[in-house]
Amino acid sequence: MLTAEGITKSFMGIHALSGVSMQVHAGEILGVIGPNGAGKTTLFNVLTGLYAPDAGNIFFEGRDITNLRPYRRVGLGLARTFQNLEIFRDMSVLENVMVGGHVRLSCGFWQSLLVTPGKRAEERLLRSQALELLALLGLADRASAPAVSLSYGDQRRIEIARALASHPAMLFLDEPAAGMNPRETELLAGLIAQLRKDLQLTVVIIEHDMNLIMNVCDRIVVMSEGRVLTAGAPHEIRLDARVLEAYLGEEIL
Amino acid sequence: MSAYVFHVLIMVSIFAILSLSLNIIVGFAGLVSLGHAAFFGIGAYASGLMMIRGMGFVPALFLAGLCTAALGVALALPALRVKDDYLAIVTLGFGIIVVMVLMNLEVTGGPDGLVGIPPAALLGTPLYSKPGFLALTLGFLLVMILSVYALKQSRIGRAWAAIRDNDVTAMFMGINIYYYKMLAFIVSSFWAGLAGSLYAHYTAYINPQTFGMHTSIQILSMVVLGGIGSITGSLLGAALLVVLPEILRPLADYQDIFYGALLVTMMVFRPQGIMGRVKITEIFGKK
Repeated sequence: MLTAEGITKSFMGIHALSGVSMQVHAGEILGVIGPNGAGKTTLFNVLTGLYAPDAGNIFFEGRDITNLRPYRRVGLGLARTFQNLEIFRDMSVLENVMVGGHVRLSCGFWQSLLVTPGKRAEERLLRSQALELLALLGLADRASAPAVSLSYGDQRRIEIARALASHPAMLFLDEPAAGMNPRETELLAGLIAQLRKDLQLTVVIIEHDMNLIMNVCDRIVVMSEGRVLTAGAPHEIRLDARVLEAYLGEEIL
Repeated sequence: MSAYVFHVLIMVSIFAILSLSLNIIVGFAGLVSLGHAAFFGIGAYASGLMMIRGMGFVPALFLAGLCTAALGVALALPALRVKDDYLAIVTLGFGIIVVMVLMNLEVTGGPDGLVGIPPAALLGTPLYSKPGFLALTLGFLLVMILSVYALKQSRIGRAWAAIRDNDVTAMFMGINIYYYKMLAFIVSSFWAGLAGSLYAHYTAYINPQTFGMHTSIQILSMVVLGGIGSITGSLLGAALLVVLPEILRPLADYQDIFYGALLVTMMVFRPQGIMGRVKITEIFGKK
């Protein structure tokens, strides 16, 4: 579904990614793990379009999207959340999710200016779908609250609802469990599995929480020093000596 | 009511159009602009020149708006490549350049400005009376309020609010941030141009000084005082900053001190302005 070939990206001479090739298959939940500085977030940023790679190509459903701007990728069905919470601070919870639905609306300048019936119908639909998404994520009763008033874990959920509002085919989650307690993480794992099932999503997750990764992922890509070290099913990764070595013998698995 | 009261109300409504138009750039889209009076001036000169050359008031008015919007695009094309402090400097420079051009072109009358601009006319009847002209400006203000409100409550308004909050995040919401920033400049400069046209036909005489730095800061003060991003705030800000100097006229020499003190007090005690939700530091202190 998504294929990256030979992605290289450096920042001021530092190779963040050197020749990363990977694939995301339709319908899977793929985990991307690796020690700090392995290039996971840079890979996410290249795949979602924040940076253009220095070399290499990215194909999404057969189409070359290497140089496509982020907003165009969202239109094609790629959506993401952020490692550092990036909710819109001046907006309510519902407004945040409605912004996420931007690409699904077609009203242009004149329809908005003249408040045409089509525009109004579109807005009503967006609002009701945003409320449904909030219900799905257990935030329905907080819809009109200022987004910043919610807890850390709930703000992560707003971000997921907001990303889902664009009706993506593929969802990138950048450390979704960061700052969550074990109970919240467990709920998150259940949620991710449920979303994949209900919305036919393909999910890519960067995460340090190995419980989440091992529980929810079908396949794992291990990165180290800007390269893909190995990829495989969780039980294979768990036993791979190279993976343990990459983590410098940290007992993480 | 005396003619003087009508004069003040006409100036309030013209400045309300200006502050509301600047609020689209600063308050809705969260961009910095320090040269807004230049758009006001371009509208005034365009309309004045066209009417002196025999064009009717209504076409001159709208053409002035469109010419100004075109200049808005011309400014936004290079200006939107930079952000924050740099954008402030580019718009500041734009304001200065426009005044210099108006000052030095022969067709604009140089430093003396344009004299003998025909009055506004509707259906062939010149509009000399102040109450009549006030009705005209209030009519435009009303149309503007409705249209700006409609945009604010739409997908476009949400995209602007997202960009104001965080333009990188906005990109990942599928928002073409360049397009929406450009749109803010176009809509804003169109209305500022209309305000310029109304002003030119009201005063019948314009000169470049009116459209310089001082006026740009004045319009920005209205937006900030009233409340960044708030429509009622812009109207209130314009009303206050047009009426207050009139009331303080006996203290003319100390007027600017009062002005400055008012703004400083606001910034300390209520940085989001009278009606606003967004603090000025979120627009001008962005990192």
